[in-house]
Amino acid sequence: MGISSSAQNEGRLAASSTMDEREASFTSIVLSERSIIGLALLRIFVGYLWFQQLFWKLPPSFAGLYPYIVRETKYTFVPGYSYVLQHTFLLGCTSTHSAAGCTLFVPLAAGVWMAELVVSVSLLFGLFTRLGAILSIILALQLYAGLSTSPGEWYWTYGMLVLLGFALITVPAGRRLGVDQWLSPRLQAAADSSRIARWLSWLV
Amino acid sequence: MNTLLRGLYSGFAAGTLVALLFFVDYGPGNGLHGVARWFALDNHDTGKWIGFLLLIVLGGLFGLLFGVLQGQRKLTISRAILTGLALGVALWFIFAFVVATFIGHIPLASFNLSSFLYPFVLSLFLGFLIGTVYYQSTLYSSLAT
Repeated sequence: MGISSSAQNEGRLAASSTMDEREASFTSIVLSERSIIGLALLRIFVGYLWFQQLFWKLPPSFAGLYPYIVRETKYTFVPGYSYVLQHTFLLGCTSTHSAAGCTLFVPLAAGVWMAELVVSVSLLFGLFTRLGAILSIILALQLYAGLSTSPGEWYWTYGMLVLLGFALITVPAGRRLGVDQWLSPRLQAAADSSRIARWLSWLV
Repeated sequence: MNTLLRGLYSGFAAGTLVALLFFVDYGPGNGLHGVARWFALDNHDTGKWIGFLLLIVLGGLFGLLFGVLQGQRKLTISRAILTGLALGVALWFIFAFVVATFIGHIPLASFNLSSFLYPFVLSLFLGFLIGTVYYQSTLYSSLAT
């Protein structure tokens, strides 16, 4: 009886220590101020990366973008992607060197340029940072699909751009040195009564 | 901490960060020649370093101004952001536009989307950063006491 009871106690102790260890390993992780400031700096540099890329494809012609779209049609590894580009961006185009004759290139390129401007403003100023990060992932995925296997490109370049976007979605990087620091508590306070505020609060 | 001193430190920190951002290009740091050009101080050899220092000095100056405007009032995040953005617009107008035109002799005809957007957004960002860094430092010091 004594031996059995002692064995049971040991079993309980072992089970309890396993539970403690499991609970300890599940303790929520709180970012220190230094970490979140570091992530805010990362956000700022990624925002600047996108901001800088606006200047080689400026409106009104967006001419800098054109050769890259042509390259994407030649070297994409995604089946059907070339067809989509040829029937949207390159519809009606008569040359591989200039956007002459293209019917949809300018409005679509304007959309790309505006999206990149939104990403850069969002990340630089920490304004709806997660929305900016999601948009940056979409833009970077498109670049990855089109350019990662083209000659002269390192296939990880655009992959890393996608991953940087993912990193900025996982943390609230705009809540320090960013407008999200002002937005977040207000949206969270309104989230109980407003569905839109609840959705928006996820984007800061 | 004295509000002027806090403003100065925040301005130096913000100016240094923006100056470092300018270094991330193919130059590296070609954009800094543009800052030196505002004051007619650009040259091939040291122009970018002059631009680098000028951004830090401008950051300090506008940080000081932020401290003056703030005074002894209680700072809120919205006030820090708005004051910072207003200072950013002022920085662009005074230095990237007026000083660049009259001292740097940059012709008005050369202004286009590119020559407007780059310095405008970065001036705005410098002001914004001064405000948010200042606000953050007040939070840290109030938590420490």
